Amino acid sequence: MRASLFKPALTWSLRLAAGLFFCLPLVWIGAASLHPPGVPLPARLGALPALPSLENYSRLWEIFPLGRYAFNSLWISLLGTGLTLISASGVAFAVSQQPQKVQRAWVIGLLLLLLLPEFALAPARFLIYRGLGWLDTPLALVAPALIGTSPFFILIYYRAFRRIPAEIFDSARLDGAGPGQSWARVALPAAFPSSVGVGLLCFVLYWGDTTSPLLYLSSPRYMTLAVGLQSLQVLARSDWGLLMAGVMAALLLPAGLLLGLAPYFNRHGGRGESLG
Amino acid sequence: MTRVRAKAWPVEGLKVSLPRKHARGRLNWVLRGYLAGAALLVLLPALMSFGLAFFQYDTLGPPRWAGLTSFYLAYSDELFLLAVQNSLALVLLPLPARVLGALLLARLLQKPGRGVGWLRAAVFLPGTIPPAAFALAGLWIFNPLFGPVNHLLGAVGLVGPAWFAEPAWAKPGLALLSLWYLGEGFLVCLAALQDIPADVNDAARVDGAGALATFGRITLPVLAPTLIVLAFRDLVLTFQNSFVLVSLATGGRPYYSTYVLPLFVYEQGFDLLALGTASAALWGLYALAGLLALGLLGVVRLWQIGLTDESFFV
Repeated sequence: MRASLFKPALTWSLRLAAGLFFCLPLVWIGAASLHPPGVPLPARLGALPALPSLENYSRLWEIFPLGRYAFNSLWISLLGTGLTLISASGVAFAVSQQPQKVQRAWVIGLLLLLLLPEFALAPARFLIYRGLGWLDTPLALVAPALIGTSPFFILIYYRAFRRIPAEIFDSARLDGAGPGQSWARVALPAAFPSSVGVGLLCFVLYWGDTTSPLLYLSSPRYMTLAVGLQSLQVLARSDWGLLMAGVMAALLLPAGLLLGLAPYFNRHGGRGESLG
Repeated sequence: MTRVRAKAWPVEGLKVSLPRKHARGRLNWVLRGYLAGAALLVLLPALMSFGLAFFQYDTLGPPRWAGLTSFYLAYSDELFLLAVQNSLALVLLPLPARVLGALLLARLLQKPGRGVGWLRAAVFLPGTIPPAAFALAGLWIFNPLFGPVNHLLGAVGLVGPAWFAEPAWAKPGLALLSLWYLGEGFLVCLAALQDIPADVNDAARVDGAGALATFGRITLPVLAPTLIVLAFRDLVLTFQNSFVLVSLATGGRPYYSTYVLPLFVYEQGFDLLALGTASAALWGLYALAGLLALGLLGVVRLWQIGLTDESFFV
C-alpha cells in the first residue's frame, strides 16, 4: 500500500522540481525587469523588488521601435517556419521512398552537412546574396527555409516517415494516390507530432536569429527584435533592469506560443495514437 | 507504367516484396531541387570559406595563392591550440549532462496526465529565449555580486564563485548555462520514446523486469539512434552556440579561459583581415567536429546498440 503511494509521490516531486528548475531563469529575468531604474539592485534573493515598476518596458520603446521590430520578427519567423515544414518534410519523404542504399547515402550526406558550422558560411552567403540581389530583402533571411533550414529537421521527418508501416503507403498507392498525395494525405498527418516539434524549434530559430539580419540587412525596414536586443546591449551594458526587460520582450511571443501548445503536448503523450 | 502494374498486383497470398517506393520521377525532382538549393546556399559558401585557406587574402587586394602557408600560420598559433582545448572542454563538459538530462526528463514526463503538458512546456521554456537574449540573461544570472545564482548559493550558506570573472569558473558557468537550453533534445527524446510500443514494455514487466532493467534493455537501445543524432547535433550546436554565447557573454575572457575556436576564426577573419588563416582554422574546426562525431559512432558500434534493422542508419 505504502509502496503504491510512494512511487507517484516521488515521480511528482521529481517532475515539479524539474519544472521549477527550468522556470527559474524566466522568474529571475522577469523579476529583474520589474526593478525600477536608478534603484540599487537587491543584495539578497528576493523574487520581486519592493516597488515593481513597468518603467523599463516603456524605456524600451524609446531606444528602438519595439512594435515594428516585433512585427517583423513575427512574420519573418512564420514565413521561415512554413517554408521549412514543407521543404523539410518533402525532402524527407522523397528520401524515405528511395532504395536502401540511396537512403543511407542521403542520411550520411545530411549528417555531414549538419557538421558545417553555420557562422562560417555567413560571409560567403553574403557575397552570393549580393550577386542574386537578395540583400536587404526578407528573402535573405528566410532563404535557408527553402532547403529545410537545417538537415536536422529533414532527419527528424525522415525518422518519422520511416516509422510509418509500409503497408499504409502500399494501400494508398493501390488506391491510386501519387507521391504528392501520399506525402500530403498519409505521411504528413502520421508525422503530425514531428511537425509540431519542428515547427516550434524552427520558429524559435528564426525568431532569435541575429546573424542574418545583422549581415544581410542594411535598412531598418525588416530589422528584427533580436537585432534591437543587441543594440540594447551596446547602449546600456550595465542597466540590468532595462536589459532584462528587453529579454522579456524578446521571449514573450515564442514562450506564449509554447504555452499555447502545452495542452497539445499532453494529449499526444501516448504511443503513436496519431498513426491510427 | 509502373503504377498500372502496381495496380494489377494486389493478389492475396502473393506476398511479392511490393516495392516500397512510388513512381520515383517526381520525388527525384524534389531531391534535385534540394541538391540545387544546398549547392547554392551551403556547398558553394562552404567551398568559398574553406577554399580561402589556400590563399592569402585581406579583402583589400585580390586573393593570392599561398599553398599551405595559412595552415602553418593558424596551427602554429599559440591561441589556436588554446582555442582547440577550450572548445573541446566547452563541448564535452555539458554534452553528457545535456543528452542524458534530455533523456531522463523525457522519461520522467513520458506518461500523459494532468499537468504533464504544462511541465513539458516548462522544460522547453528557456529554449524559447533567443540566444542573444540568453547570453544577456546569463550575465545577469551568474553575476557574482547580485546575480540570483550566487544569492541562491548564499541562501544555503555557500559562497558562490565569481563565475564569468574567474578563469577557473567561467567554463563550468557556461556549461551550467547550457543545461537550461536542452529543451530541443528533450522534445526529440519525447518523440522518440513514443515510438516504443507499450506492449513491449508490458511484456518486459510481465517477464519480471524492473524499471531499471526495462530502461537499460529496451528504452536505451531503441532510443540509441536518436541519442546519437542528438549528441551529433549537440556537438555542432555547442560549437556554434558557444560562439553567440561566448562572444556576447564573455568574449573569450577572463584570461582567454573561454576563448573558443569560432572566436579565433572570427578574430583572424574580421579583426585581423587574415581570411586565409581564418579559413585554415575553420578546417581545424570542421575536422574536430567530425572526429568527435566519428568517435561517438565508434563508441556506439562498440556497444552494438541501436544498429538493428530498425536503426536510423539503415
